Amino acid sequence: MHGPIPLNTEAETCDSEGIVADVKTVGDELARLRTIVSTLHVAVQMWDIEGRLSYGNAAANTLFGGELTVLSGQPCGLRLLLSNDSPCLGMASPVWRVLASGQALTDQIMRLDGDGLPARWLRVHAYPLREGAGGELGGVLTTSAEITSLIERAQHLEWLAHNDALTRLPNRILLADRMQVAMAHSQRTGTPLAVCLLDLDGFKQVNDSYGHKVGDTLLQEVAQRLLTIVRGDDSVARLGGDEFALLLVELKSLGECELVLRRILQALALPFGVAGNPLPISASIGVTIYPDDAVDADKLLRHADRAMYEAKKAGKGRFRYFDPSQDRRIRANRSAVDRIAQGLEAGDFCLHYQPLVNCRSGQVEGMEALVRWRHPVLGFRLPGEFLPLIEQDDMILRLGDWTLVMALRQIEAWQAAGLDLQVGVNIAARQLHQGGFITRLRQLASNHAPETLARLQIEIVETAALEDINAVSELISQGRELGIRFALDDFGTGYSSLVHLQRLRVDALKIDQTFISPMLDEPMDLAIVESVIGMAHAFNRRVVAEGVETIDQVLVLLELGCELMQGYALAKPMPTESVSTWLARYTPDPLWRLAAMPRPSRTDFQLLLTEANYRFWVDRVISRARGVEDVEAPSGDYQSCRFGRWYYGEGMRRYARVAGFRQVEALHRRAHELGERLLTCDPGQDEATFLAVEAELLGARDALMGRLRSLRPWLDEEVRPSPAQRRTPTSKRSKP
Amino acid sequence: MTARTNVEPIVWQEAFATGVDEIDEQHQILVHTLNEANARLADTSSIEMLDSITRDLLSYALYHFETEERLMEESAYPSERSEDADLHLQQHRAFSAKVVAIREEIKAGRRIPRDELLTFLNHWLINHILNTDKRLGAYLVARRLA
Repeated sequence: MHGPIPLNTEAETCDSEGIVADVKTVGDELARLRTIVSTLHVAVQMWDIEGRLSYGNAAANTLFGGELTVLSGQPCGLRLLLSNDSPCLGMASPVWRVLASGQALTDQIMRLDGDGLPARWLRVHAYPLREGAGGELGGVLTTSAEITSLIERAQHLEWLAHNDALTRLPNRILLADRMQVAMAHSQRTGTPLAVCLLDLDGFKQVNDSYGHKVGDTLLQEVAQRLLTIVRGDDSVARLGGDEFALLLVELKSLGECELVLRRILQALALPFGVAGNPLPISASIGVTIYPDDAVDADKLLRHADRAMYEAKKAGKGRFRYFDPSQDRRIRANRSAVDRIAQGLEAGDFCLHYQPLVNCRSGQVEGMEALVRWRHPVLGFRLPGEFLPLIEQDDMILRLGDWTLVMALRQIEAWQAAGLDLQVGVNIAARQLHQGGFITRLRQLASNHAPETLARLQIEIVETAALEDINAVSELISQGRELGIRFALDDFGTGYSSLVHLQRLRVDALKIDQTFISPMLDEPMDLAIVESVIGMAHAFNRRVVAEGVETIDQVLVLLELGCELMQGYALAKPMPTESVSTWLARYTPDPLWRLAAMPRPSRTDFQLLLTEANYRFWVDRVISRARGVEDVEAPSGDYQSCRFGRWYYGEGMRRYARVAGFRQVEALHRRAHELGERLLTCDPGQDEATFLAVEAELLGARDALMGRLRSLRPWLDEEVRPSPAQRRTPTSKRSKP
Repeated sequence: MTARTNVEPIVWQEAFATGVDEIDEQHQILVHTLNEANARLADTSSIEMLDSITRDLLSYALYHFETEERLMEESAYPSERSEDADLHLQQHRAFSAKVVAIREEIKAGRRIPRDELLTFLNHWLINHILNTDKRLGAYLVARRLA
């Protein structure tokens, strides 16, 4: 606050050049002061107690021209607006406010000169002038200076904080403000608004090919096109890069929004001629509608962004709505992953073991560890149901690590019990390709004896190995230094070349069950199985068939040179505590020896398979009739079933003239009739009938077997299975 | 099997509702997945797309069946309506087994034709949601009112 200035003068104007240099008296002193005031660049004016102008310096003349009295609120040709937006008139004027209050004031005044001239700004200080000993108010002193450039700079900075300098569109901050306003308005009026995120397709290529200058010009042109299409109250903002946001307000219908978006897509699809280059470009737009998507402004933008990403994925040059129910789906999926994490934490996971048998020697060579989830509500869940949910999540690393630790512990336990079993552990792609895996293996190696590690086999899915063959082959060779063995799992599902196989120093190839199951019916699958076995032999690797379900498959695999097998034909996966009992009771199936015997021809071998298959068929009918759920009902009538196809085809050609072959037909038809009857019986409702039909079916089967057996006099008596060695019906899937 | 090519998306309607909000909300997710499969799948669709849709179905089976089966247990459904409950659980297991089987086939390079997947999901919607689930819903709602 400035104090009052004691100065009493008469009205006078002075030319800025009229400087008097020589000062000798008190009068001269006063003259000197006047001279100084008159030469100041600040406009100085003095007003009397009636608000009349009593003095003004040259700068005041320059600043106010013919309107010298404007600060005292007299109407004139100049329009001044005070900082409170009221016009500078009468008692509101600075001079009269000081006269009324006796207090100094400062105001920032906007000066409108009219006629399209730009606005200017003045800073005005007004001070009361005191007179005499009592210091009574005698007038007002005002100083005024133009601060237009200062204000404009501040305004520009302010503008820059809220706008994008390149396109002159609002930026993210201003957009956020506008969204708040628009959302409040939408709630008040009940009219929806659309938040759209627009991203140019192919902008990066433009920048890369033509340089940033062209890119920038393109962005300006895009901004212009957008502005010409949106409606009056809509907003267009640039969020950065080639990303724009649109705020479409007061939508009467979705159609209105779509109309605007379609026009935008069309407008942006027209080529841009920048620097003589026709630049082909398009845009992808993601849209979310408020208040259907009832979230805050920040989330609306994120949702629009996600929809925009979907639009890009769907092929660019289009718009996509954000779908709140998809969002719900994503969150629900996430909850399933969390559920698995909780289960592992709570100890709800366990390992089951499925035997790996050498069917030529009859030896049990090892076990594959298979993870099971004891779900508190859903019961035992198989890995096929939950592993896919975590394969792309770090959760799979925790589960994989847990499996390794448990398996090593189990190997030690078996060693202590005198059981020498190799254990296979499945490791997911994500874990393999995660940097620390070999470190973790080394850590585990330091905690376990070398003979324990030597029994560990890490099974890598073929497709995972092919994702980064260099890294995986490096991992395998480092793992082998620790004594760990490796196998390529699900072999055949990827496209390994011989070169790949040469580089991956695995001990074994495991043929996927999806090739084993259909191989007897599908020549293509059989061809794949044969070629994998051939590859394994060529590279001196062990080969394991997974998911072996029937004795036919065992025999054919043995015939093809694959001795190691896993599957329901041998044993289902079992809990740890059942393994020793199973091993104690295990005896190799004598039928396996068939494959090792000399045979006169392939057709006779087919006959053996047919016999084995018949038993399997009857087993399946009985299982199904007894309500075993995961067994599919056998399909086909007596002519189109597998046996029927053999009998009326190959069998007829070869054995038609052999005595007794024709009688087989009646037995076979009888077995079919009985099978169909059994499937309509309910053992719970009428057990007596069920058992009677079942016995009849088994009788028909045995009679048929007897006939078939008489067709092959060459077959040694000893390999025929005794009834006690026949396997009980098993369910279908082998390695779930 | 009826080909379901380029048909309109299924819009959630009151008739689908079981009356139990938690269940209905999750059913809407399935309808959404079905619509997505309808809109996006072609017989030449990439393996990734099929992979992601079937993964969604596995996930759905996990959280949704848990929700329903927990509600069953809490409401003594298995003892009060043992036949309905048995059938219900059987259908749940069959759904998961079918999806796992579809994925196994895809892995072996045999991708399920679009219409076959859509038919499977449509049948599930009609047979399970409109039938089995509505019976459970009616039971739960009646118990809550009692």
